[in-house]
This record gives sequence, C-alpha cells and structure tokens, in this order.
Amino acid sequence: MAAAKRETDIGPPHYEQFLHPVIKKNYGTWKYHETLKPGVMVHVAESGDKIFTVRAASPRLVSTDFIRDLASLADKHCEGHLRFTSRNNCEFMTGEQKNIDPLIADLAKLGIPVGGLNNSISNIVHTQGWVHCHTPATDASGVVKVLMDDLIDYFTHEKLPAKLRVALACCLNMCGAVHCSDIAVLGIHRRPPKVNNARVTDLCEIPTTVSSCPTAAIRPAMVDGKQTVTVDESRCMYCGNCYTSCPAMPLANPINDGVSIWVGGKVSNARSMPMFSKLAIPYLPNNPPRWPEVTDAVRKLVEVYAKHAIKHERFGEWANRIGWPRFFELTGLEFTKYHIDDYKLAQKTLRSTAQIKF
Amino acid sequence: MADHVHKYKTPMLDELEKGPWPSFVKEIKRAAAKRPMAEGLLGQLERSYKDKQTYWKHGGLVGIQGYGAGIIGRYSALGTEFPEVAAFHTVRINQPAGWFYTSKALRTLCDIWDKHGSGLLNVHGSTGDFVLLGTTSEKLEDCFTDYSNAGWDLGGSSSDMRTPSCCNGMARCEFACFDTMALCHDLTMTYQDELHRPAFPYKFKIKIAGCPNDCVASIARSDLSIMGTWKDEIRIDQAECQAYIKAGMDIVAEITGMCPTACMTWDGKTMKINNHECNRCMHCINFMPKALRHGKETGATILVGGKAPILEGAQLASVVVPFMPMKAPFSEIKEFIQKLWDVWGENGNNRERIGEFMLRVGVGNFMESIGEAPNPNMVMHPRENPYIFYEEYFEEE
Amino acid sequence: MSTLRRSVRGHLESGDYAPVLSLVVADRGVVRALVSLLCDPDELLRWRAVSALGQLAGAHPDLAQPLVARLYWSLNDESGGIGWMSAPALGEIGRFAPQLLSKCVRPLVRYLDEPFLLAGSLWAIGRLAPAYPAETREVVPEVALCCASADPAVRASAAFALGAVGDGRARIALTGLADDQSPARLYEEGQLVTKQVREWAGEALSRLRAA
Repeated sequence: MAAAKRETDIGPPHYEQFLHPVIKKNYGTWKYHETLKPGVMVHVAESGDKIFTVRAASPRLVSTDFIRDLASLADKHCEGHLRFTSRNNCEFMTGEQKNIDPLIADLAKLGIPVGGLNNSISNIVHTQGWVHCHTPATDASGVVKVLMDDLIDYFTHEKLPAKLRVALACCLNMCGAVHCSDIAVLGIHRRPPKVNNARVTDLCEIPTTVSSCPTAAIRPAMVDGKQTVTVDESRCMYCGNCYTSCPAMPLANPINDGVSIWVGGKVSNARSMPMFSKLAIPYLPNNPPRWPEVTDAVRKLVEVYAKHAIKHERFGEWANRIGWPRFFELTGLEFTKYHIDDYKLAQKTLRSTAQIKF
Repeated sequence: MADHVHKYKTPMLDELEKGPWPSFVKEIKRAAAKRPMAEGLLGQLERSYKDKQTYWKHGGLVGIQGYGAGIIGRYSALGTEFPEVAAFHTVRINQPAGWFYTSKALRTLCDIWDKHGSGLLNVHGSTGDFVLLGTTSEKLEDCFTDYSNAGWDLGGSSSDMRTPSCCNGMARCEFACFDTMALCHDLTMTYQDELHRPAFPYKFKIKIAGCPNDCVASIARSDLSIMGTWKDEIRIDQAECQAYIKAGMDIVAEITGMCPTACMTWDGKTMKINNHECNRCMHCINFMPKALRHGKETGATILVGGKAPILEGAQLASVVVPFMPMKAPFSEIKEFIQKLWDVWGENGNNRERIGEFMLRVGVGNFMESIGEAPNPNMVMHPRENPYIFYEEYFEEE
Repeated sequence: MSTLRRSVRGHLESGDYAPVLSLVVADRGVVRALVSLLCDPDELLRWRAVSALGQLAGAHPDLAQPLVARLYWSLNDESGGIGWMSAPALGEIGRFAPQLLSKCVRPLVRYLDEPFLLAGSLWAIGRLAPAYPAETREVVPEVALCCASADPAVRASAAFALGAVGDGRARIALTGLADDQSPARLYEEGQLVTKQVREWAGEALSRLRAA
C-alpha cells in the first residue's frame, strides 16, 4: 500500500464558516428562547435579533440523497444553513419567521415530521445493530423505527409531563447513553460463549481474554494439549466482552438473544441528580420486522408515566417519588429475581427501611 | 425509486417502509438504486432479519497510512452470497463543532462519498462523527485524500482520544456558561496526534456541555466531562416573572416548590433566590428563561470517569474540580488533561478506562497523583466503611 | 505535538536510540510517545519507533511489559484501531525481551489474515526467530504460502522471515522467487532498503539450513 503524498492532521473545518449570519452576529449574546409550536423555537439575542429553529426527525441512517434533500431545504428556507443535534435530529435555522411554515410543509412532503422539543420524545439514540455491528443481540434501526412509528404523537406533540429520552443499545457495550435514559432498550444474550478450543490457542491472547470477564468466569486451561480457556457458566452473564477479545468464543444465538427494557435514568442535573436506568423487563424476544412485544411494552410504560407523573417530573423522578413497588403495581410488570442486583455494590441497592406503602 | 428493481427481495425490511417515522430502509433503497454496495446491504440485512443474527465478522483491521484510527474495518460473514458487502468498512469524519453545516459543505461530503462508497451515512455516530458507512479496502486511501483536500479529517477510534463533541453552546443557547464550541475545536486541534495515533490504555472521550443540563450526556458517556456553571448569582428579571404568572404558570408548584434546595421564595410579587444555597440544577432557568439567567462569573465543573458497563460496571463521571475557569486559550483544562493522561496513560491496564483506573488505585490516591486536593464536592458523603489505608505509622524506639 | 514527542521524534530522525533510552528512565511518557510514533506519517520514523521499542524492551523490560497486551489488543481491536506497526513492534520486543511475549507468541506468529498488516506480521516473525525458534518454525508452511502474494512487499517480507527462521522447508518457495524483479522496500538496520524480491529471496536462501 503506497502512501500518497497528502496532508494529515488538518482536523475538522472551523465551525465559524458554517454559522448562520444571525448566529455569528449574536454569538454568545443570546438572551432567551421560546417555543412557538411543537418543533419550532425562537432564540432572541440581546440585540433583538431572532433566530428561528425548526427541529426535524432523522432516522440517522440515511442516504446521501436524504442529505441533499435537507441541503436543498436549507438553501430554500434557511439561507443555506442547518445543523444536527446530539440526538440525531436535524435543525433548520432561519432569520425569517415567514420561512417556518413553508419549510415545515416541504419537510412534510418528504415524509419528515417536525417536533422533538421540550416535553416530548425527541428521537432514539442508537447505533449499528445488524446493519454493521459484529456483536449485536438485536437490530438497532429496525427497533427504533417501530418504536418511533408507535410513539410518533409524542414526537409531534408536547404532551408528556417532561422530556422522555429513549435510547437503544444492541449489546452490553452500550454505544450511546443507554445506561442513563428514561427508557432504554438493551440487546442481551442469554447463553454463555461456545469456546472453540482448537482455535483459541491460535487466535487469542489469553491474559487479555481472561481479564476481559467482569465476573472472572474465564480461566486459562489445557485441553487436548492446547492452551485455551474455560468458562465457568455459573459466573457468566453473557456480556460478550470475551468475544471482543477472542473471536474463538462467540455467543450470539438467535434462540436466546433478545432485548431488555430499562427505565428511570437521566443525565441532566435539573432538580434531581443524574441517575442510572433501572431494569423494568428482563427479556422480550426479537421478533423482526416490527418487534410487537417491544413496542407494546414501551408504549405502556410511556402511558403509565404520562398518566401519573406530575408536571416537570422525569420518569425516574416519578418512580422514585411513588416508590418502585408502586411502579411495578401501576405498570403491572412482573418483579422477578432478575430485578434484584447481585453484582458488586448490590448491597447499596437493597432497601433497608420499614417505610412501606401499602 | 419505483422504477428500480432491487436485486434482493426484502419482504421483512419492506415492512419498515411503512409508518410515519422516516424509514432507514427507504434510505438504503435510495442508495441501492445507484450503488451496488447498498444493494448488498439490503440483501444481507434481510437475512439477518430472517435469521435474527448479525452476519458481520469479528476482526478486519484496515486504515489510512499515517493514521492509527478513524476507519472501522468490517467484513461480511456471507461474502460469497452478498459479494457487494464482502468488505464494508466505515470511515469516521470529524464533525464540525456543534454539528453546524452549510448546504455546500454537506454536498461536498456527499459527492465525495458517492464517488468512493455505498452512499449511506450516519448523521451522526454516537461519539459525534459524521459516519460514512460502507467502502472497500482499495478505496480508502483515495477516499481519504479527497476528503483531506476538501478540508476534512478523520475522527478517532480505538485506544485514542476520541473525537471530542460539544453542545451548541454560545452559538444559539442562552444557557451556555462558556464557549463550548471554541473549546471543542481547540482541544480537537491541540490533540490531533492523540486523536489519530492510539497510544492510551483504552479509549478516552471528552464531551463538553455548556451548562448542567448536559445536552450531550457528557456525565454518562465521557471520561472527561466539562460542564458549564457559574459561581455568583442568578440574574432575575422581576417583570418577566410577572409575565410568566400572567401566562398561566404556577410558579410555586412548578418552580420554587420544585427547587431541590428550597432556596427560592415567591411571595406573589417578588422572586428571591438564596444563591448561597443554589446548586445550579437549572430547573428554574429552564422553565423561566425570560426571567432567570445564570450568573456572570462563569466557568466549568470538571468530572472524570463516565463510561458504559464494560468492564467493571457503568459509571457516571464524578467531580474532580468543582470550578475551573474556561476561557481561551483554555490553559487550565489543558494542564489538567495532560496530568490525567500522564497518570492513566502510564499506569492504566490494557482496556482499562480512566474511571475504572481511578477506582482501582483509589480515588484519593488518584487525586493525589494528579495534584488535586481532596474536596468534599468529590463525594456524596464521607466514607461509611472503616477500612482506611492509613499511610503512616510510628514504630516504638 | 507535545515537546516530549517532538524530542523523541527528533532522536529517531537522527537514528539515535541511546538518548531515548535514558530519557525514558526520567519520563515514562516516552513510552507513549513511541507508541504514538508507530503511526507517524513518515514511514522510516514508524520503523525506527519499532526499533526503539525493541531497545527499550531489552534495556527496561518492566517498562515494555504493559505494552505487550496493549499492542496485541491493537491487532484485534474491533473498534477501529489499526495496529499498523504493532506486529513489528511486538516482534522487536520479543527479540530483545523474549520473556515478555510468552503469552501471545503463538497467536502472533499466526496473525496472517489481515491484508493491511501482513507484511508487518511477516517481518515480525523474522525478528522473533532467534528468540522463538520452535514457534516460528511451526508456521513456516503458512509463511511460505505468502511468497505467492500479489503484493511484492508481502513476498519480500515472507522471504525475509523464512531466511531468518532458516528452515529448509522454505527452499521451494524461495527458489520460486528467483525471477521476481519487482522492487520491494524493507526495513533493515535502521534504514528503508529497496531491492528486488529475488534479491531478498536469494539472501534468505543462503541462510537456510537443511530441512
């Protein structure tokens, strides 16, 4: 592979060249913002200048044609400027209020809904799944599509008590903030890896493989005169980190793989501190193409939360306020042995009090 | 796209073209109408849907000369059946800070990609990069050369500093306590070597949030979370408070009554905040942005150690420096970063994130090694267990 | 680029490893600088970083020891790292501090499936041969197959490896390269040297023992 002579380490282009003129002029001097209608907000600068933002949905996995569609709309309505959000939506910014409705109409023609601000479901953070990943227990884009189809009203309207952040990770590597989401879908395996002893010795660096296991389930071993590893199945919780280190011990398995549902996490500091998501449902099957069990379960969680939480209360704040026993009562979800932590620091999660609501 | 007959039949994927949410299947088909690689992806993805498993192989290391990161190699396990995706590598392009683009820039990015790849993209990847999904080994060098000549560079991957990302900060948000985009760009440019040439024990992610709302989830997802804050008083516009009341807000139920430190009072006429007790949670400012603004003595809280569960469990980044000035040229944070990298870079185990390293060596020891004095803001409360590793003891004569 | 990295790079440019070895005693950041230089845009400097790591392993095995797992991981990193020079670096480390490589030498000498890294893997086998004669002899048949690669750099590296291992089973494959006039650049004693593949093969042949 001969190296061509070209520059390296130039870094990304400076953002300044991409800023809308109104943004550039008022950079750092914004005074307040207001929502005009779902998906549309205005920021007002100290100078009195205004920039209007329209937030539009994106499936994240898109064609160059989709991007060109967005670029054309940006040219037509936004003086050639647009951006993307940290949760994969697209935002059009214009200095002209009159451009908003024609833009929304043009987006509708492309099948792109507008919404996702404030107390809504803004999009589902996710990664590659079966489209590109070698360790997934489920698909990502497909589950996201069916969930957002089902929950579309919560994107286009602001009718939840507070914002609801949904994320999906197709395996325990959790690429994305699944561990701190209001509702999270997590792909899981349920069967230990199958060690190919003949190949381990040739393919794997054993110390890293052994140390890759969070529960020390993996030991070096000699089998038929070959250096390999064994898995103590009683200690294996199918996280798949060993497979990442050692391709000779795969664990994906269509019969057993599925998803789990987690609730109540948040990253913002508003009112309560950031918190981790908690297990709601240990297992739901993968039933492509539309994963009905998953959409049903998530919708029910959203509806129970929407019905019972008070204004501004995030999912986790609501559950903490009413108490998790009441959460299981209201949702009708089964509380199982799997809901009780048994990893390090599990003791911190046990409830040692006589404060019980009957 | 009605005219193009797709090579592979995809009855299951076709179901995902229905429904109000924009469809990724429709997008793959759009690309497939012009590019065989996307066509192959449809075929393999349909197989995955049928068999409920992935068909991408482990391994596949490919790259660009002079770079140790930025390209994710991927080979299909069904390369004979779907030759179009036998090799289907991903290229990460470092996004502009705040994900701001012009239509012209986006077209350039798309034109180059259409020339070399599948025509499929992720806007954006979880870390923040502009992700180009699917090209072959032979095309990598030319693809990179074209992007580089157009002013774009690769993002991070593997055991390096990953591409830093930030919220839109002062570009469009009145909550921003410092210039997140300037910092993001500065760090990215300062640490190009660390970004492109993996030399750390494991990945290192930096995420920059303008305020404690943390719209980039930095506390959950980054080894180094830089979160804007202020030291002094929230600015109050009493007239605007009245305006919110007139517009129907129940200030006591929604705002002062929800303050986590009960530091706000509203007597029907005047909003008062006991700023000494304010913990900067942002709730009141979030819902009364016309009436309340953060203080003027701004900077950032620095937290370290956020990560996903692998290996030892998920961690939220925890406070190391409660308040650090955050103005260009950002010398304080750069000094801090260097200390983190020196200590963890040299002593971290293979695949050990800095959050796990910190816990393994003892957070107190870690703070000592990076020169940060112990501070009660680092903990929820002092220890409860009495197993203290006292470091000095006396011997009898 | 940091001052330290710049200084280490400067020493490599002059081909001077001694200052690097004394610098590392005071500042272990030198180790990380060398790992980073394995991906430097300058090809010769990448190779000299390999040599420097070998020297480091010989002089200060305790400092090189943590690198072994890290470098090996970069050969398997599915999150997009490419250890371009990791196999050569491991080969060099194993040559000067064999005890450091005992856990990964077996998979390392069999690491022949990644086209981007193959030439480097073969070179590493050649460098490891004196320290690990038995393990490298085991893979002579697989290495010999690489003499048929379409890439002249791979053919030359395979020839080099076979010569270093010295096993007579390589004779046929090496003789088969007698007419191969394609130029190929290999790293040899601190320089990048270009010779025709048949020259590399000829040198290798002269180092073979009887099968």
